[in-house]
Amino acid sequence: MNVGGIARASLLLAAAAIVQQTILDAVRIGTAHPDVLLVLPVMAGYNAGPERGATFGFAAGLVADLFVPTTFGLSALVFALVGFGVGVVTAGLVRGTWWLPCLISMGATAIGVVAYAILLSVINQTPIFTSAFMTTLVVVPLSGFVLALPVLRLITWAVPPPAVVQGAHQGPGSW
Amino acid sequence: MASITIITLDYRGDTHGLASRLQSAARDSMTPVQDGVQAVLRPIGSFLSGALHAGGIQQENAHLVARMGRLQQQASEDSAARDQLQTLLRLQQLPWVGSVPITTAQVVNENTSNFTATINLDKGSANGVQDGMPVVGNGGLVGQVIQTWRTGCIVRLITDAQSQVGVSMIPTNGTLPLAPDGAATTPASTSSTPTSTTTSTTAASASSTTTTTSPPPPVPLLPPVFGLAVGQGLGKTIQVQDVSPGTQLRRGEVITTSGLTGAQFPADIPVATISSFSSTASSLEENLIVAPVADLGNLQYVDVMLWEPVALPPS
Repeated sequence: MNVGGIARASLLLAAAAIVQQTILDAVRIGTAHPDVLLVLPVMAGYNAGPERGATFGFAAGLVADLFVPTTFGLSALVFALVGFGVGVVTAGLVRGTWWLPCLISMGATAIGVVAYAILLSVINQTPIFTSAFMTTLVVVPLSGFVLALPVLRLITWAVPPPAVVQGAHQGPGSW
Repeated sequence: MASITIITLDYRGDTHGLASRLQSAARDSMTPVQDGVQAVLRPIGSFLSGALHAGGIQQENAHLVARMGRLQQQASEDSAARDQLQTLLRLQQLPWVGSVPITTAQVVNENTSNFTATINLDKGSANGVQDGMPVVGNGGLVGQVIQTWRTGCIVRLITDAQSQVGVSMIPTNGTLPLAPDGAATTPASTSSTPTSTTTSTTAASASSTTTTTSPPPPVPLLPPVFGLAVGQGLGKTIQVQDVSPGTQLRRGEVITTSGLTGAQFPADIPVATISSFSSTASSLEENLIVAPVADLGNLQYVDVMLWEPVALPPS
């Protein structure tokens, strides 16, 4: 990724952090709120593949970690894994329907919530399966469904797929 | 790999200073943006909320006016008892929460993470707030400051799964109804050696009254029982650990901070009321569930007590 791409990605992350802190944190359904910073790596993996999904997820997670009182780096780990996983799983998908990214966002954010809760429970040695966790497990994926399309538009601008070089070596079977 | 390394270093405390500085800088830079956006959005939200809930707000207003009247009446009735309590506490040289300086702060955000029970306040290190300071509001203990930056701080609520508060409570043998003169009363069967405090109180009151009824025999309060109130996570109750099985308690009784040596909170702050308690013959401790005194779901303004926990010397 060139300097312009990094600048666009950084700008998107800063804007997402502001939206999360000022607006989405106040949109409370029960005890939970939407998490746009988790939707970002999902759409990055969907749009740009596993490598960029993981990289962008790591960066988005570090930004998220700046504002939450949990273990620093935990969001970075989960978001990177989610971005990478979505990139791998969706690599061979035919992308002909508008609702496909919405469904992928919903499923991936649900997995991200569970992974985050499990890791947090392991690190802090605290219970996870509370009513608040179940609320989060509903609210975050549903908001991920809603936010997927606008986030995908922004990700397409900020984190485009890597350019394919003609004739380059692309793996064992490519030649 | 990079994130696992960061987590490991943070867990060991090696990057805590760097991470804290980064977080403080990010939050300080975010504060004016948050203020600006909230200044724009709050009137819109208030208008929509008011339009949608006009009837309910009028009912709630009438209810609050009535409740305020009752509280004012109760406050005037309690003032004499409060003065007497202050005097007794001074005599016993106990720390009293009312003497601790406070700073009032506004709640600007709740649960920034979906997995922790926290609130963000608009007062930070610039106002003297530091990590570890207790926060009270809505009539009881709210939590403890865990992260501070120049213009704000994060408070871990007492319901958070990582919250632990040393508490004390009086067994039912000692929680006796107060006589009109303020002295504790009890049937003769439970009386024991009176302490100097109760003796002096009843002696003073006896000298000032001219009624013909004889005062009931004074009885000292039983020694308090100590425990550890541990939060069970967002949206759940609080469990009190380390209470001996079979301890006689009373549902609805208020438990307070213990204020023991090295405690994280000053003594006598109301923490929670007892919701349920039970134990079996094989129990190692009482299964004691309590509910916070403060309404933690409806916090707008709280008081940060400018009181720092005293670190215990290394053993």
